[in-house]
Amino acid sequence: MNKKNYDQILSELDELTALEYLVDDKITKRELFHDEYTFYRLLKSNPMLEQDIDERVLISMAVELTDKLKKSIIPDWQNNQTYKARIILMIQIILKNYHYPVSENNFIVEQIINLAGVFTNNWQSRLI
Amino acid sequence: MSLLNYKILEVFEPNPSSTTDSRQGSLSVLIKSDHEVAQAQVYSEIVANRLANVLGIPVALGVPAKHHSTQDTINFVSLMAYEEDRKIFDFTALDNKGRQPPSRLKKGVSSELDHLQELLKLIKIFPKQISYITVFDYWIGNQDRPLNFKAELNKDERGLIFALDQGSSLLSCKSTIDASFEALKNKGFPNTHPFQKLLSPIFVGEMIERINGIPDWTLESATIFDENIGNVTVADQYSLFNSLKYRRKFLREQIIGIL
Repeated sequence: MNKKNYDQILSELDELTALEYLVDDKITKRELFHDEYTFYRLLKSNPMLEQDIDERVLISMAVELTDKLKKSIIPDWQNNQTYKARIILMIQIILKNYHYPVSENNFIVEQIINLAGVFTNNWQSRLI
Repeated sequence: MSLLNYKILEVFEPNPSSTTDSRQGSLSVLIKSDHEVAQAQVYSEIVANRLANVLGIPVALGVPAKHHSTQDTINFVSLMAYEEDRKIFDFTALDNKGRQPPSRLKKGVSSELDHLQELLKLIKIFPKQISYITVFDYWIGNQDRPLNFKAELNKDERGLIFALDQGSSLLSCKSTIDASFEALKNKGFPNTHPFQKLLSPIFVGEMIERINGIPDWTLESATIFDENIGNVTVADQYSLFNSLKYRRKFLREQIIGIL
């Protein structure tokens, strides 16, 4: 992903989450960090998700997923297919543990991987 | 399982704020860290220790530990056994191989093994524990069992046996994490064991059942932590969890080959 795209996506995500904070009284900035909230929105947007899923469960899943992705990021992970497969496996197990619906084509897993790619530079810069 | 006591080095003054008459003290330990040829030693020792305790494998306990001089480094410290009141044969010591090997040795048993006479005695005294340890070693990919155990061989009653040093297993069975994952995929790994052809079918069967009976959530709790441990990331830990689930499926097949 080139820098322009990366900045653009982050900016759009910022706008999106800022709006959501205002309109969704269940979620507050104090509860979730920006990246956690973005993953939460992604998980909630899955059309396969049942409407009555416990909001606290979804938040817990988003927090755990974000935390473990953040800790699993290594340099150039997106081009290291062996390591990327380990991250995909981790995502699948976490989703399964929360009984989160996953389609056969792993669409949501792919979305999570893409979003992790968007946050990678941000997460890595905190480690330096 | 016998109770293994650990060695207290120092006992300090009673803790004045304690309501249970406790005192602070220090234990004798062996400190291990990750290094170039064992990049995931600390994590592998922690996990092997947890799994051994779940399964009833007699091992010396160990814990993750830090020291103020190396704050960022997690070490694994293995607690040293209190041996002063027992006569424990040390298989970890070097063998000068002064004695002739027995003339009738079962096919498949290596006459080149260190402490062979004592090893054969050990098999007779502790058939259950030896079988348990061997099956466990195959599951966790431990190719470094020779010499890494201690036992009482000269008591009239049943004595004590315990394994130590699982630092060359799991993600440290090879020098790098990637190479270790490759080795763990292999049904022929480990390719040898000091106890091969000396095992009891009943006891190995029992341990295979135990390993296959471990619930996934227990295996997950033993292998996955909420943080990176040394060089092992959280994603690596999930992959090991998966590898161990895979390896237990062909454990029976592996063990039949060495009975």
